Amino acid sequence: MKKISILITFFLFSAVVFPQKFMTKNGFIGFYSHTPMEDIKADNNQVSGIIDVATNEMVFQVLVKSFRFDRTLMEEHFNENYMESEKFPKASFKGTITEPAGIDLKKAGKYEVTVSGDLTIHGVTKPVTAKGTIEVLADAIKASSKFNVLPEDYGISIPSVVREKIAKEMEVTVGMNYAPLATK
Amino acid sequence: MKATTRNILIAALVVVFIGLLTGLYLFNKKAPDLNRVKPDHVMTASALYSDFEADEASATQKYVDKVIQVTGIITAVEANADSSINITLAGGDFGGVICTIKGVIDPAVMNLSAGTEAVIKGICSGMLMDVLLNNCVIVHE
Repeated sequence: MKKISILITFFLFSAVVFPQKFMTKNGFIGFYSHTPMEDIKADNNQVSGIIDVATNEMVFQVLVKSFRFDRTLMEEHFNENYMESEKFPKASFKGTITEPAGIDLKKAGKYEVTVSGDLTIHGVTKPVTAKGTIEVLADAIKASSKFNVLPEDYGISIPSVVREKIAKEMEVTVGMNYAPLATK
Repeated sequence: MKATTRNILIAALVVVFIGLLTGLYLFNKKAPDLNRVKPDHVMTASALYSDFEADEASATQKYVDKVIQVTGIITAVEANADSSINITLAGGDFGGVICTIKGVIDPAVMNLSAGTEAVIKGICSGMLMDVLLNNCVIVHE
């Protein structure tokens, strides 16, 4: 019986004309660390993300190895010493738009939002709340956000030798451009 | 100062100097320009995708961090917020191979549009929903 009701729900939702889910595989997440000694910057243009306008849920997923640095050595240290990307190849976030409560993303417009959810980095999951902007267009949704992440929170220890060169907090920038996910 | 002591000192200084130079070189080393790098694997985009789809663990072992040259039909060209572009090559039913090319390039000038064939060389990061290649360059044959 439960299976049938799930099936019915599925068909009901797929019949809705306005797409329920928007998706991208070309999203951007970058981070930036600033200290008087050194600036470190990495970009990832291969972020997968889905935004569900019926439930106001957002999911992001990245491959840690897709973060690119200016210098090869930094990239090696990032992957081998800090993120241990062979052991933890992916990082992800799953959350819900909490403010404004009951926001309707089926209506075009630009909204200032707060998203709360779970961020998983280096195999450690922590609750995160971030402010951002969501812009609903006729056939696309754009989302952007900027928030800080503390490597220590995710069990990433930075040796004292390089402590001066790496900021306590990383500034994370997110930029997504979603297209409707075809539901037929 | 004895001659031997002096020689040892000079040798030590030379070693330290070479060490410093090597360190400085390694520290400042930029991401490699793949135009001049021989690929570890040459294959079609769909072969690479199906290898990951069939057995992600062994494909990860085989391809990640390696330079791969893939040939495939372009399904999408996306301009990113920085001056890079993402080109997706057809792979399988559920995904393909996404190649990120850095630097300002005009896709039209490079003759890159959906439906045409492209040969792209890049470093494999692994599989998310698609197989991901980075530091990509277009191979002109």
